[in-house]
Amino acid sequence: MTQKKTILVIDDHPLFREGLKTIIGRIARYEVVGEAGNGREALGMAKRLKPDLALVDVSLPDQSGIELTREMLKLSSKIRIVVVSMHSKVDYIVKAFQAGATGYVVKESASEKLLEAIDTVLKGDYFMDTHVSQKVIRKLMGIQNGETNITNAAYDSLTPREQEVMTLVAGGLTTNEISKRLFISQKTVENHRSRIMHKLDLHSTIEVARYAAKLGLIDVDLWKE
Amino acid sequence: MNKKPTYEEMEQVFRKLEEETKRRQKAEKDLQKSEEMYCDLFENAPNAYFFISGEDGSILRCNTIAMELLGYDRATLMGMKVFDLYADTPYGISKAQNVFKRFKNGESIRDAELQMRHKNGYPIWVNLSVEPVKDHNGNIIESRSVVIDISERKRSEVVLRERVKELNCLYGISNLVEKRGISLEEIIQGTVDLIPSAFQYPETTCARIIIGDQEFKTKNFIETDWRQACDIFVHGELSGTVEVFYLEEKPACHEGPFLEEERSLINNIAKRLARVTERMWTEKEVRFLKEKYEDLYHNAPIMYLSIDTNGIIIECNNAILNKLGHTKRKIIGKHMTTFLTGKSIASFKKDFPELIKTGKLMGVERQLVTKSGEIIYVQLSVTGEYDEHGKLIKTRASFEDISSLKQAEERIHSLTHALINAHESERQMISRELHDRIAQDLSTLKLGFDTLLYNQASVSLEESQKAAEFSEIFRNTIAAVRDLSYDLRPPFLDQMGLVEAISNFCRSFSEAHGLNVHFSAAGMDNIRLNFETEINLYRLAQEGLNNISKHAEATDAFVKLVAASPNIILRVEDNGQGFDVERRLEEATNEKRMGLRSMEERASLVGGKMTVESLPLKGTKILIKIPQKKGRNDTKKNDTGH
Repeated sequence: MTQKKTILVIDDHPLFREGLKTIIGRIARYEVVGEAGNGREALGMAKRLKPDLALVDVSLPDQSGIELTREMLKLSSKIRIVVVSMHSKVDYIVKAFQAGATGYVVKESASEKLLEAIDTVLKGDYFMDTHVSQKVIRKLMGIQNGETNITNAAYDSLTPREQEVMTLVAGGLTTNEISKRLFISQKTVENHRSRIMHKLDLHSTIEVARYAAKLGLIDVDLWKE
Repeated sequence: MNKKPTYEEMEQVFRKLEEETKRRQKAEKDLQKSEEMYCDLFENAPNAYFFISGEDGSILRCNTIAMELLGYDRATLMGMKVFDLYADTPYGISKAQNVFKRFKNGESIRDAELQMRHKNGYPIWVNLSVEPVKDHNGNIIESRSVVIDISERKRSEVVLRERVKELNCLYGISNLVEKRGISLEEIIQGTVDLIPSAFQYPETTCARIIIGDQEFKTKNFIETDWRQACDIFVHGELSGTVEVFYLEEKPACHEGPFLEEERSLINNIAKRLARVTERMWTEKEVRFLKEKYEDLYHNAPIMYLSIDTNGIIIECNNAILNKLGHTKRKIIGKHMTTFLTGKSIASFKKDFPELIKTGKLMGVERQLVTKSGEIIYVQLSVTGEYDEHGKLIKTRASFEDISSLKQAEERIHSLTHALINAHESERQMISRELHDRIAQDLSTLKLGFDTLLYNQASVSLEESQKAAEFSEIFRNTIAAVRDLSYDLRPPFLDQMGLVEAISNFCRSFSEAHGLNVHFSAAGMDNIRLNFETEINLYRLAQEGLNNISKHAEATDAFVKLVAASPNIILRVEDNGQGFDVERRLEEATNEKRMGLRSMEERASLVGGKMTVESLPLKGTKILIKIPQKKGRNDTKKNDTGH
């Protein structure tokens, strides 16, 4: 019989730790060797007990569970981390994985998913709570779709100065006026202007204005006509 | 003679006699003729001739003109002494006696002017020349006197003299009037004192002038029966009189004892006084108005200041002096910018050329700096002053201290900002509470519940199903609480950034409200905004769309977010029914309908500006410009608490 896998439970809510321990306690091959309510205690235990796996809450009173993950992995690269968190937001999940965690479970699915997560992670695989993963993927899809609609890659390539010049060009100012306004030479204004037109594939000031109006840089006031 | 004359001799003598007689007769005839001629000449000469006895002055002979001149017949005259013919005046008898004395001394008198007296008593001015006639022994026996009537000339002289007196008087009045700083009272007193000298009998003349309720008199003034007067009309209204009185009876003239010229003089004086009075009254009125104006200008509660076309201060009133704490000397001649804050100097420089061009600048705000360095907010309106060629010569500005208004406004701003911030932080607090406490506790409960059955020896299928249902309710509740927590804060904002957050909001708003929301963003990829800016841009888009769905009755709404360095532009537009912007903002303030106002405040909270344009039946355009604040604020990551 192989040796039991040792597990550290880190959460500042004792009752929640109790719940997790109860779930783990039902599986003979796992053993909870320690529990901690804050990062400092947790790190000490990790050093001392060298557990195979740690369940880490993101919100700890003294530090973030993401940081704790990083620090524990510094102590031992062998330790596996499963983040158990209230957060279901994409960037927390991303950050948890970036910090070195290989599993992520939202707290409300702990009773259903925890054991699966521990099993998966201890096997050396990544685990993401399906509740979260579906959401994340859906959103990622949505963003991907949306992005093509709402942003404009060409305009994004303009420098802030070029944006500034473009706004003024579209607003009908002459090169001379722009140079005075921005305290740059007329030559520089001309350079900016041609670069803008090149980047946006525009060929006349009228096209620049039309483009700017489309983006909302200027208002082509049809009401006044 | 022995010898008897011969006939021839006799005849010769006779002839001689006869010739002599003839010659004599002729001579006599000639003499008679010459005597007749002389007599005729003497009698009918154009001048009066008198022959006066050198002994006692009795009249020996005189001619016709002499009789006509004096009104006597020859017989009467022949019995008279020459002195009886002179008037009883300083130029009469006494002077005549003087002439007689000189004549007796053998002196010739040429062109003496004396006054003779007509038989009827009136004086006659004459020019008298006397030539003494002597006998062989050199004794003076008689005079030959030529008398020329010069009454006419004398009368002209008198007239001239009177005229000169009048002119002197009028000249005197003119001099008075032109004296600098002289009062009307002094002019009139001076005039009244000048009047007597212009009249025929200055010593016995007094005068009085009444103008308005004031009376001016000569020192010797007494009212008598011999009065000449003229009314004074000022601005066509009877305003007084000029009166001249003789203190004693004088010979009758043109108008009582007064000369015709004196009538015209007094009329002239009255007219002149009227004109002077008119002028002085007008001047007085002008002075009064000027004083009133100056009082109004200098002591007005509003600050006034005039600058020339170069911006140099040329006039100011007390209110502005008091406000600035400077003396007038410290302000006049200085450039306007001396008393402005840096920001106001910039606006001044921007507006001034336009002001010079149009001569008008209304309701702009400026900040004045007082002597003690305090900043005063003023609202000013400026109008130009032009010369007769229409060229702007200066501008007049009125300033109103709006510091307290400004303070109140700023107070409202800061309160509103505090409110918005409080609102936002309250949402965050509730969100955090929901997320970190309630959802956390519910999760603990769920976990406890789920593990509760682990230790039960036997659990029926029904019980275990029920427990699973409860567990599912737990899960959903937790998810709902967490979503609520996320909704209180813009979801996605700190996950995917502003663009995605707004995009997502627009999408769900579209679905929820049946409004086509078109969202576009440009240039936002490369900029990092602080959390405050992001959340407020998000809220602005949110509030903008909420307003549209509540009021606009639009089918389409457009939300455009674009980076326009150094600003970010957010446009929220619709094709709805539009509204009157001014009125809406006013109503909003009055009825606490805070839609647009709160958007304005929110924009200004992050240093931005919002403009609203709306046209009935066309729609509404909201433009928000917010300065980019570089660097992402870390508060973002702390928003749900670590």
